[in-house]
Amino acid sequence: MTVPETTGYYFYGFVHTPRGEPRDTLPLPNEVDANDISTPLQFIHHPATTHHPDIVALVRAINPADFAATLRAELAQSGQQLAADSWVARQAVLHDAIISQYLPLGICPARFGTILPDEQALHTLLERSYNKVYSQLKKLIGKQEWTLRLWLNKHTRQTSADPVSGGRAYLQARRDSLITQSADHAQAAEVREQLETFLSSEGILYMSSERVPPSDAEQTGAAEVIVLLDSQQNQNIRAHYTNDARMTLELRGPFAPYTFSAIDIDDGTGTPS
Amino acid sequence: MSAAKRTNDNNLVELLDRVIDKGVVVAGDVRVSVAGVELIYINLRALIASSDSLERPTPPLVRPASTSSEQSD
Repeated sequence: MTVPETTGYYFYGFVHTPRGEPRDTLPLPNEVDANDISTPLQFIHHPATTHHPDIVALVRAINPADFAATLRAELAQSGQQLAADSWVARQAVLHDAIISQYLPLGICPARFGTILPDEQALHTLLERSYNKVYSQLKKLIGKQEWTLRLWLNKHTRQTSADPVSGGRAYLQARRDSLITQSADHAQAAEVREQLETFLSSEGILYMSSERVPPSDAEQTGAAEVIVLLDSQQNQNIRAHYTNDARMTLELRGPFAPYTFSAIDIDDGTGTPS
Repeated sequence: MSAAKRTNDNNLVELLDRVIDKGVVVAGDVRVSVAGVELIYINLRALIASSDSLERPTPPLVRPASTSSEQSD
């Protein structure tokens, strides 16, 4: 591996490691091509911390100027929209692959494209982050993020009255449509309320989603939430909804816990963390 | 389209949505401000939004109770 001149660190996230973990070059995930990652992964410890020595920064040395130049070239080439196979999209996938490798240890993943200028900045970041990150990591270890979706199955809903003939047919159809939509909304609201109750009773952390599942001829989208699950909670959710003929459950994932690591590390001028 | 079919769609979209929009955000003096990275976020969002199979954004429908919602401390 040829290591280019570097003046900064690409930051992947905070990792929980046993005390005394040596600062070694770390292996790349199997699915990552060494041609895409030209410098080794590293854990950076704070050299003098006595607070949380088991929290380290997962980084890779890079040249920020080169990174920025590649981004600019990509933007110039792509115009207003990146392609799914673009360099940036591939880098985002690599970002996730590297983060996912450390899920068993516990990782608070960083947002894509976070770069720090030098090792001193990493030490400063660790100092400012310990309390927030430690609190988060305790909740994340052993869990993965999923997108949970629920649909109401169409055949469970009330059907409209038989169509009538003549000019009344249109009005009747419109009336039936409105009745159906109203019933959909009412049932969806009920499903969401029941879901929230169930997640709370299971002690499952969840966040609202900005989307709802789509409706189609067979199903009506009812709810979408992002959940953080251990294996037992995953089984419990599936078991809870498997036998409910009224609705269909979908769990998409697993993902690294990006949604549950959405914390801001301030610049040191505000309230200390 | 069945739920099973939908399960196979949008993996990249969902992943990008998380990678560019979630996670630890480092602000201020310890971070290198890379010219263009914010535009990259915008363009990646455009890529996500342009996906044919992505659902129409809507307001949040389920609001987690304060005891179960994950927040930074």
